[in-house]
Amino acid sequence: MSKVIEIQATESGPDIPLDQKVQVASQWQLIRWRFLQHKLAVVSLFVLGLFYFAVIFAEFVAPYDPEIFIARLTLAPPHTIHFTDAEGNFTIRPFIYRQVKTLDKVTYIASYTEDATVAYPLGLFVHGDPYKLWGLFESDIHLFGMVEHDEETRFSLLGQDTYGRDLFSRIVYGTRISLTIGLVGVAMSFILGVTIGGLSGYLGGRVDLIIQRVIESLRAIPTLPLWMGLSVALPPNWPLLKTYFAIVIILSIVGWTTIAREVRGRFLSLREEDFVGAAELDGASNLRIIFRYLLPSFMSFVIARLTLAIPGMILGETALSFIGLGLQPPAISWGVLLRDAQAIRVLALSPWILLPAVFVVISILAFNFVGDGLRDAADPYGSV
Amino acid sequence: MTAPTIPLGKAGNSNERAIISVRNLVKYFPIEAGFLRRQVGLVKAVDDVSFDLIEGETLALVGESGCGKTTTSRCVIQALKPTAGQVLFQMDGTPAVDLTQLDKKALKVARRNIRMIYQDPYSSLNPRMTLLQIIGEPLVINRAVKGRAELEERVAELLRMVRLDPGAMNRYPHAFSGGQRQRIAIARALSLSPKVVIADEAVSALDVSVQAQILNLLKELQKELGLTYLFVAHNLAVVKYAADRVAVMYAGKIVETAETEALYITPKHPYTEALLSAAPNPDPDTRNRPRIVLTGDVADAGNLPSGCAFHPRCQYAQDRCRQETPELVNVANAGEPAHLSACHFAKELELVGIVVTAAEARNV
Repeated sequence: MSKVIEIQATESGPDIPLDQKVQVASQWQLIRWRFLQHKLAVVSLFVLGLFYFAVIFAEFVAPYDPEIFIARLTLAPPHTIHFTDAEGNFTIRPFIYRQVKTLDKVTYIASYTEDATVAYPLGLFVHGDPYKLWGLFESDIHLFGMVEHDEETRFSLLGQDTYGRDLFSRIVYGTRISLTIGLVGVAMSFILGVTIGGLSGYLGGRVDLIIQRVIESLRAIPTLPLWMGLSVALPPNWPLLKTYFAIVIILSIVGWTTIAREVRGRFLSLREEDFVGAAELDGASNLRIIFRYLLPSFMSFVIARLTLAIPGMILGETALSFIGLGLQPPAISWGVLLRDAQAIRVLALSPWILLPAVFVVISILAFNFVGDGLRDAADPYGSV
Repeated sequence: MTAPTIPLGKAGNSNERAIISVRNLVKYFPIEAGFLRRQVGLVKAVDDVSFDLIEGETLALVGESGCGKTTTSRCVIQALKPTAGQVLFQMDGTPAVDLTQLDKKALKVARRNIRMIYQDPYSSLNPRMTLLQIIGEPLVINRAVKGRAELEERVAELLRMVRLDPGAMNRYPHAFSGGQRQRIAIARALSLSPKVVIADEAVSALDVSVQAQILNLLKELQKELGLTYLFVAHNLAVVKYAADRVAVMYAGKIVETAETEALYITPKHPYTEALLSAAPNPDPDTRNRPRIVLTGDVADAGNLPSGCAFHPRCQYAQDRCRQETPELVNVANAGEPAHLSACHFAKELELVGIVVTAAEARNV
């Protein structure tokens, strides 16, 4: 910010050397500099980076196969990670104790206690459940886990679910669907929004009128009932991939309208800008004006707007899956995982089942902060 | 609407040639209302305007906001399609063409010779393009240069012309101050070696100190390149300095045209008199001059008063003014340069112009 101000405030002749970098900096460089000053956005971007790393390398990041269940570990709580053993000796390598399940004879409530006699050391890049990364590369190396793989016990970072599947592994696999559905959905909304909104703003007149009324009608329908109605119409026997894209389309049906409005508004206001008028007088063709003047001018805004639209998509998928109308198990998404938390009994005794919600919240906050930062940085030429 | 037969340029000097002749220019904007966008009225932004732009001169269009001066200039360059009227453009040795009748292709060619400078140098330069791209854009679009080397050479030459460092051509507009940006805008306007430059409030967005620099630059360029300026402005001090002739507009019509000095010293229209009296006067010796404070707003171009559009605000208004629309006629004495006024009483009224101080009189 300050760099730009300094230069504008310097009423100088053309020869005074100023910060050369700023003067020849393109739009995107200025945006990057401005974005980097928004600390919260930078941190959020880092968090999102971690999440998307998990999306890409879910098999590697997750310590266990999300489908393999160990009945003995049903609803086992998260492990406590120890650095000192029972005698008080400190070890650099963290370890966990074996969990022992006891059943209360009166209430039949299962409770887990630590057996301090059996310790399992933890490590990075350990061998575990075999997997095929992206269906291509076979491996059994996981980012972290117990050094000695044991079919009968697990390092339970965030606890086990109602069937004895590792919750953290399932959350990691859940990012695949939950975090990409937002991106794919927003990409679809973007294509629809920019095309239709651009047409509306550029052609104007009757086309504009009709498109705007359609948008208003779509937006007048409450989102959740609309989503529910549409997803009920999906055949239940569709394969996972097909359902996934169907859900994306359902989410984008409403999503594109906001972007179309935004794009139309920008088109209208930019057409009035003097530099666009000047280009017209230069004899620039319509296409040249659109691609050289209009699109670059609002692309940064659109990107910021899109980032802010992703959380809506994520929440939409989570909500639909939570009420059982979105993705169905065995698909793993955060919404699907949260369905387990619908039973009050489970919630009361095993609150860690709610942890996927924490990931939903973190990712949405991160997207919002990044979107905020992008929005502030999007117009590096505006008032600071 | 009759075409004026009186001379619109300076008094019949034979070596003067109108490069642009505007004849009976009309621009109405429809007022639309309701769901079906029915037309419910007309804004008469420009209503029967005629003037000549003489080669090599600077003609200023002045008036309050909303008087139609900017619309007129946009209609001249065909950025707005006029509702009616002609804009005749005549280059040396070619027959005059009516810009309003040209197709897109011919207009593109004509516009190489008529260029525009905008008011706000912050919005008239694309912030996403470097100087090289901005100034070079007209050259590229009109295929006036071959290859990047020639383009850079031409842009460097243009930057030197507007007294900017050619080494700055890879910088973006955000690296420049308002005055420098306006120089860039001028370089862009001059890139195709035009004959006519329309300056739409070209200095009003700038600091007063910078205004003078830009005005001087424009004057120097006019001398060097033989440019003709149509100068749209509302600042009378700027106009007095920059213009050879002035056309005062009110409610879409020209109400007075004269050479700058004549118009400032002996205005022939009450509106001009009021405008002049409202101009800030830096001279303490004459600060007690009477000020004419106009009541009411500028006439609503969508609902013009009957007769002379200025009559509701005119202190000299009579019954005739309410009924009859005055024609723009020459009121100059025989032998003097043309001085046109659209006032029924232009010859009778003794109107006060600016008071010329002794010091100024010596300079004149």
